[in-house]
Amino acid sequence: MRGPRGMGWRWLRRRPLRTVLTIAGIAIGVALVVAALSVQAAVADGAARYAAALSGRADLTVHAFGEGTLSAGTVDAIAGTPGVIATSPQVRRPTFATAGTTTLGAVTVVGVDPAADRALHDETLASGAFLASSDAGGALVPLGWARAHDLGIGSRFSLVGGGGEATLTVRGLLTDAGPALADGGRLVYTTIGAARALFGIDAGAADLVEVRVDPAVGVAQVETRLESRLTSQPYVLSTAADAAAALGGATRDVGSGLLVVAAIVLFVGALLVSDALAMSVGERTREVGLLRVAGATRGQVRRMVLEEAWWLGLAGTVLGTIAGAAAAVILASAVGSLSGAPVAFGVLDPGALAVGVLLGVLVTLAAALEPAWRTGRVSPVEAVRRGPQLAAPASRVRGIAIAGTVAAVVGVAALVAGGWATGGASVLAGTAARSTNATGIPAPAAGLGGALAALALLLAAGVISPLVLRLAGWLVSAATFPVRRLLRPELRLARGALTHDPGRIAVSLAALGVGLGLVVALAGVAQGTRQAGEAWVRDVAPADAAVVAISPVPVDLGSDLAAVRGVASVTPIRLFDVAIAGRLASAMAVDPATYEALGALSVEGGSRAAAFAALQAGGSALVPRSLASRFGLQVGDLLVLRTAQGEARLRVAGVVAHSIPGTAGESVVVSAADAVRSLGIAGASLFLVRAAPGAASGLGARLEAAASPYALSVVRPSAIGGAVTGALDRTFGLLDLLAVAAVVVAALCIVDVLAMDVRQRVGELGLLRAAGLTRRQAWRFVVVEAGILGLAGAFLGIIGGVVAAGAVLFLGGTTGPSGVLEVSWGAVLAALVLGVGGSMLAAVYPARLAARVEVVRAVGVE
Amino acid sequence: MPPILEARDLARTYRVGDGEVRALQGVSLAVQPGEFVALMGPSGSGKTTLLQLLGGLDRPTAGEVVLDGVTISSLDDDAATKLRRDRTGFVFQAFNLVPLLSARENVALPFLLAGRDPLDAETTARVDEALALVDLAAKADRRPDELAFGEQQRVAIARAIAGRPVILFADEPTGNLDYATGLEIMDYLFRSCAERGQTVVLVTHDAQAGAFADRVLFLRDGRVLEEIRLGRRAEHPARPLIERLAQLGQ
Repeated sequence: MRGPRGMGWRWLRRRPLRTVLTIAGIAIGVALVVAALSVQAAVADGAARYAAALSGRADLTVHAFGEGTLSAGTVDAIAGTPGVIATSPQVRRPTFATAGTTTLGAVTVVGVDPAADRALHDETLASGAFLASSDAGGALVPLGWARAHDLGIGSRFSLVGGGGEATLTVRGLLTDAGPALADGGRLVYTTIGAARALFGIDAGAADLVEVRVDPAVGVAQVETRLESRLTSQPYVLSTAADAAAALGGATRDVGSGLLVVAAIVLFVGALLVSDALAMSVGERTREVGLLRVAGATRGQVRRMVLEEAWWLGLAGTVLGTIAGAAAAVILASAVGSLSGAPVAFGVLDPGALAVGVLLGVLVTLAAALEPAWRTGRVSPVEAVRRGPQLAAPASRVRGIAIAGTVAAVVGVAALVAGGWATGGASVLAGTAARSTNATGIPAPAAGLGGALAALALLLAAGVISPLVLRLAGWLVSAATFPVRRLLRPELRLARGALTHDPGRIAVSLAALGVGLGLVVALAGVAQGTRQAGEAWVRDVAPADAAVVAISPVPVDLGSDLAAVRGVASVTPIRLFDVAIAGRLASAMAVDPATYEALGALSVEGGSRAAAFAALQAGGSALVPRSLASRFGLQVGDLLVLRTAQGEARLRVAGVVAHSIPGTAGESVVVSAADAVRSLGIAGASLFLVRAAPGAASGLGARLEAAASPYALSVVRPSAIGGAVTGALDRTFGLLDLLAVAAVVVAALCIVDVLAMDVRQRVGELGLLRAAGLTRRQAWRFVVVEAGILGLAGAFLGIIGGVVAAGAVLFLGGTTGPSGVLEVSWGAVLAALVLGVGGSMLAAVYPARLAARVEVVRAVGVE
Repeated sequence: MPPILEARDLARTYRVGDGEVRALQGVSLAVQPGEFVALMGPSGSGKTTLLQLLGGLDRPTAGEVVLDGVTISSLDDDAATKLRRDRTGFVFQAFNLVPLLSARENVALPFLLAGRDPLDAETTARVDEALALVDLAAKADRRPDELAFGEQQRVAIARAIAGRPVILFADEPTGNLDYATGLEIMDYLFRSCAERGQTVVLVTHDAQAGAFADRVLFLRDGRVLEEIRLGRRAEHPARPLIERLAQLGQ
């Protein structure tokens, strides 16, 4: 037998405020999930489109290994490989451009065979003409870059390269699309002959070769054939999919973080639904009893509650989906700014839509199960005799505790399983695998595993909310003990009301704790990561300035820098790629004496002096901890490094905490002498400059004057730290916004609970009013009660958030310079302000209800 | 001696839908200090409405109420609340105690609401005295749900008299109690009046309760129909009152 149709709908209409608040809570959660999923899809799609636009019709790209070139023989071998139907060799290198006395900044020179290039790419011209193969003095530049520097058809500019200087004339302006978007649109296309001359590259050689494969043969087959044919020099193969993955990687962690935070907001929304329905059921106990007396079965009354949840879920999901689509557009541009690929947000992703709708409805229905079950247990006789059963604290708290524990166990299990699956403790939390990424910036610890740990810990904290509430009440008592004689009656009444029956508001408190905990946890992780990043900069580059070259320059330039007034020492460093056991790794060549004198590198478990002495003596290397664990290296082990030019067999003289990262992670540290002698690597990529005592002021400007003729740029280490923290701040700022959404949902929960509470206690309030409680006191009573509730929520959130942040950082291998978690006091303050202020704000409406209680009617209420 | 409470030509009209209900129509009365007055009458006669107007819980449509020399019916809500807190005590049929407070805290509630320290010596002494008067000193620290219904009502009486109000209003205080417990409650009210000179205004429909009063005002259709003077008596047989009510056709 079906239940009376429309009862759920009617119940919802009877309590419009609660209905609206609950729908808003679901809508916010669903909106964030839809937005996060849509953004992930949009970013992935944008990266794929961008990679496809860059690749054009090329299926494969063969790159020279490290900074070497592909010889003419290799280029010919690639072109002659069966299954290859077209190739386009390129010289692609960074340099500086100038126009007269004006610096145009860093550009990437792309030297191509115009005919071969156009066979693989569809560049389009905004104006001018394409290059002819014989046009050694011509250039194509993107329209945006040309406009930024007031260049037009016929403009002339100069490039500086290893082989000399070249002056080019703009022949055409490329539209800002497809391949012209690479490297931020700072590109100069010229003929490959001109580029070879500019960089001193042998005739026929190239930095890379783009390859179009015969579809009948297939990419995999051609890859195999290339492997067998290209044996004379090392190379790296990549596909369009690899490029898309690399582009997407930059935003993957942020996307995961967004999704997890959105899921937590939805979880808080589910608490709101559960609480709202539980309150409704409690209020309607007598009504449900009457229905049962009249013959309604347990199943029928349960279905009425589920029908109510269905309407709530449906309305919240529809509104949330619409809001999510709008939020996705904003989030997509914010996330897109963190990646190299432009994010074009188009039509809402159908998958995201489907998941959002399903989650919204299912989570709401799941949250309704416990209230529905309780409704079914209402005894008709008891219900009619005793009336509304507004509180069922013990069973509810037990339910929350069980659900929280299960979630915590599942979260931790997923975390551990994820850690084992990816191979050991160092990659736990999904973040340490990229603890230093290609840019050397410690990655934001926002991985899925870390977030799961955070969720698990927050949930665990949520289940002890009644205890925390008592603690908050006790703390307020203790804090106000000296002025107890002056204590306002509202405070005493509010504290009494909360501590008398904490189970009544346990769910709201848990929701608030989860939301505030999220704020604190995110801030803690951000701070920990930021401090680790800054400490890392101090450890590996303890200099007053760094002078950076776009491409390697002679070490001798260091003496010009050393001659600058106020410079005490200059340490040249060369960064380059090596192969270790057939895998790509990074290395750095240093002058051991000056680098040691700077105070750089922390040697773990050994003498720093001895390690540098071994480096100075030659035949030794220092390896960073991340690389040591990656390759299983220990002090004394033999380490074989290979480059295109040679091989070095070095003894590991020490393991260092960190080193300067290259393209493939933190670098193996070798002496400059070994690099030249065994690996054929000379020159310097950057110079670390230490100022003489008292001479740091104005050093930057003097260094810039000395460096600019060599196209070198001066960077202060604080600027590197600033870049690190800037990127982190943008990422975590985005996540913080979502965390605040969780607090907003919790606030809705508080409005609902306190409004219900006022209605429930209308008789009690009437009595208090009769006994002399003024309307103002009644108003303050409810607001103060909410303030204490907010304080308890803040305690819960702060404790849970700090523990969660500590766990994420510990598991991610990221700790502050002191090795212990440093609490983000700003976030703690924010949690207190948000918790107490937000709760009191949420209490304004219920407080008005309380102030309006009419004594005459209240004492007549039974 | 001037009356402690005086009502002059009180009227109270309620709007119900498109119509009006005239709950009180020109009621006047005066209560002397130390007097025990009962308001009786059938359901809908206006006795509870009259009590609410007399206690400043509600405002009359017409007429005025003077309590201890202050025209309470013309005060704003805050002033009326403070006057109520300082000079009156209330006992209701239900919702008499705040469940989250102990018996002692409930009794101390008016002091707390007035901003006084419920733990200072004078307050403690007055609370203890009130609890002793209703024989609940031994259960002072129990919460309402740990007390019997009769005991809860005795705590309510203690709270109402602890502040030494000039007048105590009781609205059907025995309505939720069995016969024996109801008599017990009425005895406590009577003792507060007889031993402490407490002025009491009682609303009841129960002749046995009304028999404890010195004077009974009988209301019907919003008017005082009859005044029955019983006088202060050591015993409180209900028979004389019942016989008089019977003569009135009730």
